[in-house]
Amino acid sequence: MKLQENVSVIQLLALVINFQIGSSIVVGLAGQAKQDAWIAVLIATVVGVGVAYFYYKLLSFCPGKNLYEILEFSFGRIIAVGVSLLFIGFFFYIAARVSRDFAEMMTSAILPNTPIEAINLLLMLLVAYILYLGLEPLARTAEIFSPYIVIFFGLLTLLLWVSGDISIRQVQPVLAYGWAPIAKTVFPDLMSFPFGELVVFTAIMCYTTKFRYAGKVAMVGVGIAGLLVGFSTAMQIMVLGVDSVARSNFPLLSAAREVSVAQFIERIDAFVVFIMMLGIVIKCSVYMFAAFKGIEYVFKMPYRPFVFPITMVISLFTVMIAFNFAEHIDEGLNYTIPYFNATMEYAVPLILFVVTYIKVRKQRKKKGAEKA
Amino acid sequence: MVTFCFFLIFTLLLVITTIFDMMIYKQTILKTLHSLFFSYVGAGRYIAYMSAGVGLICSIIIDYRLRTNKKAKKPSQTDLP
Amino acid sequence: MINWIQKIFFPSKIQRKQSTPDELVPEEGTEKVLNGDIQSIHAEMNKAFGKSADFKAGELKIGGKRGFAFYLDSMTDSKGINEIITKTLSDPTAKQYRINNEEELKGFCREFFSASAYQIISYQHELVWQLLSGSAVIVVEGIEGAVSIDLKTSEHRSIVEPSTQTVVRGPKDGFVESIMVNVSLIRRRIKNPHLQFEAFQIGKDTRTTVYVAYIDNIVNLGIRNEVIKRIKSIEANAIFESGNIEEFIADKTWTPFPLAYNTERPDSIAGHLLEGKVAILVDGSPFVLSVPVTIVDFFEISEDYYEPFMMGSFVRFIRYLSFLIALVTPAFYVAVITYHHELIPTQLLLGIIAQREGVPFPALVEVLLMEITFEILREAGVRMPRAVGQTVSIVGALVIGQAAVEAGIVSASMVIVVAVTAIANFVSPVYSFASASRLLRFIMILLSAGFGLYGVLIGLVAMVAHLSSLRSFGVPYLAPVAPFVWEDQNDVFIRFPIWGMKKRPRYLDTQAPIKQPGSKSPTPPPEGDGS
Repeated sequence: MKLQENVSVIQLLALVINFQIGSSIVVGLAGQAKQDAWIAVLIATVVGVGVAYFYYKLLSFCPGKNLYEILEFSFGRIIAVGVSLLFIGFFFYIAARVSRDFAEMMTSAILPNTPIEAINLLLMLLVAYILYLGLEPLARTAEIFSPYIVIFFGLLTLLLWVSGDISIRQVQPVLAYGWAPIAKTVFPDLMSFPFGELVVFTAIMCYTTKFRYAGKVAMVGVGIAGLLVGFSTAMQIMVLGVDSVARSNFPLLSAAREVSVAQFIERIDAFVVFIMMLGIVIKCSVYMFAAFKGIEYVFKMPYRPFVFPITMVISLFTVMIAFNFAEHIDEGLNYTIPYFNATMEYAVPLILFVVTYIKVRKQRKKKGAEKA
Repeated sequence: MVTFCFFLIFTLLLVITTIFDMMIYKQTILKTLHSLFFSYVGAGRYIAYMSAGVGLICSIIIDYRLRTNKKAKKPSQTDLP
Repeated sequence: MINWIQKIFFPSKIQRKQSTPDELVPEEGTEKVLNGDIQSIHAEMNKAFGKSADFKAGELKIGGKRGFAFYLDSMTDSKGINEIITKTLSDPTAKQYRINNEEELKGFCREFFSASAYQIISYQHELVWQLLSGSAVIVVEGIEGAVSIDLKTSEHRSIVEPSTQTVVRGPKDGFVESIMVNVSLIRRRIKNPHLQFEAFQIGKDTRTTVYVAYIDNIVNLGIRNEVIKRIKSIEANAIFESGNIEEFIADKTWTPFPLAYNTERPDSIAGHLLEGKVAILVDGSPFVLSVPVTIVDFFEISEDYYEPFMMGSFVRFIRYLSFLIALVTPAFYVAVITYHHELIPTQLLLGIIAQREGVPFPALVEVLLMEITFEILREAGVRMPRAVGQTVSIVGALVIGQAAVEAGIVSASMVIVVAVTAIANFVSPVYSFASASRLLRFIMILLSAGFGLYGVLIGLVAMVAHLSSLRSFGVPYLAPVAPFVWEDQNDVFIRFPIWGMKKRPRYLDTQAPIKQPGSKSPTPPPEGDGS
């Protein structure tokens, strides 16, 4: 009996939300837009919903096939393997970056004496274990933990509000610099990170039990996640002010440090880290799962034996990709996002979309001709 | 197969990392590679090297077991060693 | 892997491994027929039972012929032998009866043994089997076949209150070792002909009777068939307890969590059967299994449904909380003391640091010391002879208590942590589930010692991932929560009033999804509302 692993609609929603929140609340978003960053995020969310629909449409040409199988359908196996390897590299690379984001935060804020490699290794072991268990446990884990993320967010807001740190004046004047900086942040940056990253779901969405709802669910998920991220961005600015946000490496964490209620609830940043960790674990696992699906396609064998060794490689590269945090962020903002992300998230899928569309139409015509 | 995949992914990521580092530091390939592997970052780096080494050993063991399982014509049961 | 090691280190062991022929079930065609040659049967039986002191063979006269009565003294009721066999045979009418062939033997039985359960058997191995299961067998000279009369002793412990799951309000009877009594306890609660008990004999040496109970028109047939398939495929030599069965039929071995529910309470089992689950009764064990199980079942006890629903929901919340406390409190303590001082309010932190001043160990050693001491005490408390119970509790109070603090080995706060953990661990209504948190607690402590709260959270996420990968007979272990089923939420975190629970759990996919369609709130609708 072959067990086809499936993801229910609610689980897909939980995965998308966790994935999108993932690293985007760890590192601040849309710094160039100054106090209008939240507007930029909200606009990007609208675009992101469209992007989600685009990926869904791409998958719905061949229902039941994932990204790699569609590549084969459109280009044939040889080219498909090449492009798949590119995707696999991309997914692993971003997974390593995501893990690095989090590990940097852990070392700088919570566990200053623990080497970053050890923190990474533990995270990667967890990811390896989840992936070894399969997609279903991953989705269920996301399902169980996502209520807590929302609850934590609400609680954090409440605490910040109670301790009187939120001042609406920090985001005023709205649109002081006009639309230009907003448009600039939305178009190369926010489109690729975090909203374009939904491209990994092209390898996962096809396992949804009710595929016809998958697109809508992904769109709703992106919407909710975008609202949450926009909200958190706005909150960061309201609490810290534009300058502090720009200077801080991890703005949400810095904001959480401001909480002080009745001299009793103080320093809740350790708990905030844990909201972030759930998102990171899910995001990392989803990326790695998509990549392992690619390995499964390339090597034509189940991915489980690969999980542990490959995860160890990723844990090595998590520390190899950059010497320090400054290089890591610089590489991310100035090289990875504009070149690598944009290519793999938009250029390749767009070409694939066109080719597949033409091919599917040809087939339909042929069928129509045969029928007639 | 797993070992091959291990090296494939290793090379793939190494290429990506090297390209980005070359772009950032505007160095030659050799210099970048040298700095990637031999720059002194901290004793913690050995944890990472060691984990990758364990991964390599595991992949060899898994490959061996996959092959023996295939020979025994059992349904391939592979778990983390 | 184990085979491989065996091959290297113990090559001789593998060759010696061979199955012993099963004497009780000979191969087809080789069975020995009871042909009426009573002397040779007597000799064979003597050979089969050897020097067993309880094997008895009495010569008697039946229907004008010589015969033998075989029975095992220990398994049969001596009063029954006296009354049924001796009295019947000395009855004047019986003495006049003549038996010349098998038909007449049957007639004789119909006439004189009709009050007791008897059967005619025709093979020698059946004879042995009948003797072993507590029957007396009479063979008659020159007649093929034999009469087996069931004279099983019905000795069993009297029904007492279960020792593992006590309740304040609710029935106080518990299962006992005798399977028939257990069946009657369930049947008395569910008077429904669809409640069925399928019997199996498991264990090459023990021949333990195992009943699979289900309600025919409710249970999910797929699950029932899977249970029966797995029970049939058990190849064990001995089954003494339902725990043996549990290990053979579990979906996954490498898990600390129990994948079958076990209870001593008949009302719990009756409730589970009516939900559409399958119960497994094992002769000789007062613990009855019920499958499939989800994690939520381990936080429930039948008393939840006898108390008012608000109270039922509240104690359920307490149970979830105490599971979490038992799991992470020591780990949390270690993490906070070692890495995250800022999480504690300053006043409390000062207090704790002052207490720990004289303690020479790091928090990890302190915690492990106390936890292991406690586990030892606990094990001693369970195993010790009742007579020395006092000693252990007095010494235990010294070890985990003021004396340990005063000696400067542990801090006072540590004692509180261990005590809270221990008490929280006892809240779990099912013992085998509590042991899961006992084991995982140590993993959590080690993780927290290495990585602080980060390690604890990694451990928790790994545990949840592990839980969500578990299945019990195809039903996801976290069933109504993940995958999320909205309809089943009335019995998870909050117990709805009984009249509000109209449906059976959806994840079981029963044949009759609705259990009480007409149930309604006892509060009448306000006047002028609708009708």
